Amino acid sequence: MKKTISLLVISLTVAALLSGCGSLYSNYREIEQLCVMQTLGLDRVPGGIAVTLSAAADKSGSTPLCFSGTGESVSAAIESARLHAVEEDLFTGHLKHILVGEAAARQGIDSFLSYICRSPDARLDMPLFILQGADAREVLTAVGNGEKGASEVLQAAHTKLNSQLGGHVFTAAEVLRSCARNGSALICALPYTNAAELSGGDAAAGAQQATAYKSAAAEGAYAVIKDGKLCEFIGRETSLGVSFLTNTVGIRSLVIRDRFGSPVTLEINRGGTRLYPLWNPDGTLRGLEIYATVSASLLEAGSHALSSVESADYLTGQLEAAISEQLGAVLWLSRQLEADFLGLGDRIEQASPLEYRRLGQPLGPLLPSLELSIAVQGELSHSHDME
Amino acid sequence: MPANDRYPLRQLLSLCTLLLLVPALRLIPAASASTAGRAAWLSVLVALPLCLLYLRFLSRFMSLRREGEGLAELTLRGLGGRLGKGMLFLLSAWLLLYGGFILRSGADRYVVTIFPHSQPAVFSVTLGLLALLGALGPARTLLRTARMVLPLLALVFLVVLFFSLLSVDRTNLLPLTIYDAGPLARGALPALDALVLPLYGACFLLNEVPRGQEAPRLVLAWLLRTILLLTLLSAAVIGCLGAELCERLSQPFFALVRNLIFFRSLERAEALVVTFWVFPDFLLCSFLLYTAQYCLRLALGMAPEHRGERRWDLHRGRWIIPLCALTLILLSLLLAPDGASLHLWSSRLIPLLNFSVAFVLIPSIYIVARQKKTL
Repeated sequence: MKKTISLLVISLTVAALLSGCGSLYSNYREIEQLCVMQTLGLDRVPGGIAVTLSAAADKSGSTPLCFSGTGESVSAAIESARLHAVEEDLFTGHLKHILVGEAAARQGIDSFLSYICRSPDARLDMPLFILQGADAREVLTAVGNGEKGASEVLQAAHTKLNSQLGGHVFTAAEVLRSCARNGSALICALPYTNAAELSGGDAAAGAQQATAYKSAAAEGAYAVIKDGKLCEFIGRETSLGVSFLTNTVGIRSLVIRDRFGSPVTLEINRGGTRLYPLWNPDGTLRGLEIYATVSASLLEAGSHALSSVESADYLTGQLEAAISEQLGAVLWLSRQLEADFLGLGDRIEQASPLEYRRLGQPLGPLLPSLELSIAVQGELSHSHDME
Repeated sequence: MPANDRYPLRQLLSLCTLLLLVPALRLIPAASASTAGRAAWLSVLVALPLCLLYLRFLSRFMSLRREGEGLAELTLRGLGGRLGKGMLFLLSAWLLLYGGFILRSGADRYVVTIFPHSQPAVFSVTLGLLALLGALGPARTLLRTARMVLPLLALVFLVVLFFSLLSVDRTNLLPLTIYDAGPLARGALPALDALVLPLYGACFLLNEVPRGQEAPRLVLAWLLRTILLLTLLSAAVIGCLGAELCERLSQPFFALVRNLIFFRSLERAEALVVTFWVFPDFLLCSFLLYTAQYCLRLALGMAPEHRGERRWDLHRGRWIIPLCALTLILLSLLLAPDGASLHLWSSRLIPLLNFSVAFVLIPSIYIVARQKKTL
């Protein structure tokens, strides 16, 4: 009985001490006082790093909050932002996206990745984005209207890329892994277009800016990272090639020409590639055979686009040619950069593990000397025509 | 010894499981991945044959014990007077050093995962004092605590495993080739390092375990279960993060937990999971402290068995226990002042000492004792 009472007294004392503000547990903060940051923007400034933290809009409809800070490292810059936000208690434990400005990415993202690896605040599966043609700070402070901020726009772009466009949003973990394994990686790029510039300097409304940004964000462009630095962008015109070579093809539209030169819109709903390495007798890699398959439906065309077998065959041929062209363009870039950002080495290893291990060197530098052959097999699955 | 101070082997094996969790999470995915790469998830399985051989040796050694004898008593009887006492001093020093290291590395885990602005000393001292409380009681209390805590930690482990195995990327685990064999064998060393301590550590507590025919079968089943669990853990961590990332992270298991989202609504549960690891930390430190003071008191000619003393009764040489706890805490504070030296201790010195004790010191006790025909 005596023991039970003692235990009860100790438990109650500990419970009383651990609860409430100003308790022994000094990290305690009321949730109402926290300003939950959702997007972290990273830029480089002379002598260090600039961070911009953006919160999501709250139910009150007030403009989403944005805070900036600079420092010698990401952590120091975040601390500086905390100090500047005198009225808000910035909480960075629920960051959802990381944006890196183009200029900063060109100088190198290693220190940013190192922060993500080590910080207890950051999660390794956070999506990374690189802004094409802008700094993170500029975008995070400019984008959004009174009700929606950059975090909402990014979330929308993220969802759209993942579900509607079938693109793949690369996480920090994937970038780190690919950099370690292949020496290069892909990161989703967000080409930023300022609506005010588009409309000839007439900054009509913040909402327009958000829309312009959102449409640009959802284009599905990529940034190529080599040796920890941004070296090239892959635009929408060839990003489909990336989707095919990384087997992340989703629903995408593609405009081709029919026999009469009129535009025909196809909706790609399935596709992917298979890779066959070609080996020399001495164990060196001679080349790669890439077989792509694509299935699309006719979405929009002039009348009787599929009225004859010849027309259907012609459109199928055009589809195959378009895909082949995109694959070729991406592979050409990969060869030119001598960077295996597509993870082809991994796929060769999956196909021929022993031979690849015997090769004993990464694929990137070998790419320019490899014979590459591309074959595409397409099909028009349906035309939505009423018959 | 009071009859109610005895405990069954099953309870001892529960304690062994919890003792294993601390070094396992520190070493197995990260240290193995740095040598074995993608194949590291098989490192625990590769360590199995060596573990079985070691278990066979320990079984043979322990079969020589009399009722009420554990490894400490066997050492004293086998080596005799001075040599036996010297060996017990050596074992005691090792156990205290290892305990200090566990306090330090445990504190580092809290700092790295959830309390980045804290000092490791706070955690080392608190856990050291808790370990003192544990070591002042009978070993039976530690075993019962282990028995109670094990289901909770098993549940946490299974939940984490379930959710992480769902998001495993096959290409992070396969393909494996013959070229992985060498690195895999080297990668098995950290796994072996984690596995041998509970094996020989349990022998110190055998003095209060009744001798039974089914003991080898129970221990073998425990070992196989443990190996399976650790292999699944390695596969989950490496499959989700990749060997390259595991190598780079100091606590890959907890980084994995940080990434998990349960039912699309619950996330950032790593603080809770890290907090649960207080129990294995506490049990391992208490066990090491208890065993170290036991060996020391035996070497000094005292009767180290618990005879129903109250916790703060420091008679019959029990004053050694707080002294050992103080040493443990001091060692934890002085051992590795920064991350680089902690890494050195974790990857080089501690495994080297652990292997020396497991594969040199303890077998040499057996060999010398057999030659002297004292066992």
